[in-house]
Amino acid sequence: MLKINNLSRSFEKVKAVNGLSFEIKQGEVFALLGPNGSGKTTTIKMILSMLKPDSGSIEFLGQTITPKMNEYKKNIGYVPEQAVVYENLTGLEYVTFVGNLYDLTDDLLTKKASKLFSLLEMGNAKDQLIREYSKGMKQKLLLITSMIHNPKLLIFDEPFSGLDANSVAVYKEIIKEQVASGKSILFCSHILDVVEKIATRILIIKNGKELVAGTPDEIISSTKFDSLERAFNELTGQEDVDSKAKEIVDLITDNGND
Amino acid sequence: MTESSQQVDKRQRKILYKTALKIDWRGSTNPFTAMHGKKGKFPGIVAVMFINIFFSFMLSMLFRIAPSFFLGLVLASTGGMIIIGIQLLIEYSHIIISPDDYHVISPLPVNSKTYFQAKLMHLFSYVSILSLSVSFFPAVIAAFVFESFIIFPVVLIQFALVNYFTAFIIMNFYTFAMKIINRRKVERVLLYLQFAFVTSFYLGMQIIPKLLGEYFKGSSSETLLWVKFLPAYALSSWYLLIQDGWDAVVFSYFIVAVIVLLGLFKISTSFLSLSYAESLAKIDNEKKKQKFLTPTFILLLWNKISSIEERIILKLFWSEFKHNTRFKMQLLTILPLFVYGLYATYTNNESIVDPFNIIETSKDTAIFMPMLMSFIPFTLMMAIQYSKSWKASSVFFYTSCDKTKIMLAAKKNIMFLFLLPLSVLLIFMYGYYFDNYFHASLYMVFVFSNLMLAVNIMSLFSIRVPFSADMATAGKFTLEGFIVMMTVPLILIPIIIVNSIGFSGVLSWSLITTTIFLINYAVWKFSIVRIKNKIEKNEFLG
Repeated sequence: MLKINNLSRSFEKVKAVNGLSFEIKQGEVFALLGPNGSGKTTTIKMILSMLKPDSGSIEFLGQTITPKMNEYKKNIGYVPEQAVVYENLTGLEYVTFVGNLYDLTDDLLTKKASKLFSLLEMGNAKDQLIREYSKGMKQKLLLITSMIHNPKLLIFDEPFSGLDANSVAVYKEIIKEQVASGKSILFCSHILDVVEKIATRILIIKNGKELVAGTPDEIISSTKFDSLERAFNELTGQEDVDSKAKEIVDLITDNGND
Repeated sequence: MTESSQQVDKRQRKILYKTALKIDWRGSTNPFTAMHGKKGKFPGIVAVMFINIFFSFMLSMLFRIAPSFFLGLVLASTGGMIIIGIQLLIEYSHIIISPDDYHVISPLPVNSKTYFQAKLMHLFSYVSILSLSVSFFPAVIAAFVFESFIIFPVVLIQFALVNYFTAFIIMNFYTFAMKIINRRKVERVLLYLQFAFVTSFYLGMQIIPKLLGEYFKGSSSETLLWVKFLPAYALSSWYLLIQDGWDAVVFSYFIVAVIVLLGLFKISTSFLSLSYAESLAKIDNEKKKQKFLTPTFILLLWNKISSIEERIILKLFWSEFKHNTRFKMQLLTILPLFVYGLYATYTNNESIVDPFNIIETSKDTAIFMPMLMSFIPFTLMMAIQYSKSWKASSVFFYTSCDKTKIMLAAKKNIMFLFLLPLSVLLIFMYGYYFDNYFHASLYMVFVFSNLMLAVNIMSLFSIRVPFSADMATAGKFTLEGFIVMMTVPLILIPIIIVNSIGFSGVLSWSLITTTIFLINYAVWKFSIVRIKNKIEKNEFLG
């Protein structure tokens, strides 16, 4: 469904993405992981033509993406890392606004959106200004706008940020249902126990380069640990998590009385 | 709480005070700052000071036209009081008390006495700085006009006194207003106050000195009864007591001033508390369902004839207008400009002449009105670039929408939802002056075609997805802004020519107007190609 070939992008002298390649197949939950600043969001922005790659190519549904192309985005839904929305619109207005951008009609949008707001327990908030929303509510709103046009590929950048445990559970089930219906998911998250449970394949990157790729089991077994979280720590160079944590606590508790 | 926890922590007080000053310095939300395009370039408070200095020249005039120094002092300090008062009203939640204080400070080990003192110090500093900026030039002018250097500190002290008085009044007004009406309504009232302020600025520069100059002939503070009811009169009584010595009436004014000042101070200071900040925070969190406009015939018609992109942009435009004070102010400022335009036309001995019927006249043809009109497309084109939620414009990048169509929709909205209704309204005004509504209609078709051309040309240079630029950069001097502004005189040329030599007949009007419409069409077509080429290369800046 999505094929990334040797993708690179620099900002001034910093290489944010450096020769990255991967492929997402239909019905796959693909997790793109990496420490902060590793190039995950830049990669996503290039897939969505929000940024232009310096080199490399992106193929989506067999077609090479160029920055001037737009139609392919009708098959992509996106939840950005930061919940930036037009805060002076109401939730329902925002959903119809984004839906209109995907060429959906107001009638269909209002019908779908009202039900989605209710299902996500935001029925009372749909006519409130978004600036009055909590972080979690904004995240749910973005989930609605990402799916409202029934896309083939869903890109979630830190989708669980600000959500309560119940909402995360619903989110996970939505992902599973979407995949079962043949959709593909590309997502970035730092909540690795969730990633471990739902991802079919994982790519860990650092400094814009691939570190390791494989199924969660393959990645965990390539390290001495038994969880994705600790495997991630080891692979990204944070092996000494315990000693570092101890050092921090020692420093805080030291009142300089020696 | 223990006894020690209620002691003022001087170190904390210093930190709170310094931080508040730092926030003032780094920027504020004052719409005056935005209106005059200074935000981003200057710290908020500096921009406000510049505006005050500008106003202070107007106040200085009062010392020249007033028959006595004392009357000038009362009137000028009253003017200063209005200026500072409105600035404090606008900045209330930033300067006087902020709901954020509750969220940020209440979890910290800061006791209420420390917080109170830091707030009070900050309030006094802020008012003193504003007061100095509005009183410095009047003090200098007054010292020269009345040839006494002792007048200089007198004016500074008097302005400071009335401005502290104003700050206390504002605090009480705001609290009282919020008890009887909700915060949103209070803020709406404040917006109208700003609007009145801008209007009075444009009008006041010309009208007030002339009117008062006539009025003051042969008058004094003794003969003008209304002056004695101004708060500044009682607050200036200290000067009369020093200057003229003991006087029972003046002393009674002085006593009243002191009592009122102390009383207001006592009441006001009770609002400088974290518990009051908490109640503000609660009001802020009140959720409110939005009322929707009942679809009117015009709205339904618009939905029928407009494209999805046009409706999307209108939705954003409306939400910005409704909820973004700065945006609203940018657009509303156009209205007092028109009033000023009409006034300036008359005072400059000009007249609005029917271009179909130009006859020999002693008056010049008014160019002020066309000049103002030519600035409207510029104001609109600049206003739609910026938004507080500019990062949300990423939606235009990650969805499948056609950014060229979005940009063209913004242009069409400006032309047909703003310039066209404005032109229709102006038909009535011009019709009245021409005494011929048919001529007025033809003239406004011509003017509208020029305004459209302005928008078309501007869109060749200012290519950006609407509401996608950071509000903080609004008003910064840029080459793009300069080029776009240069369109204004360019568009003015045909209007000025027509205004001075006339159309000579409906046939020549048809010829001229058709030519401009054809140029419009060509520029429109060219702009589509140019926008398409440029906008697709734009990257999202967030």
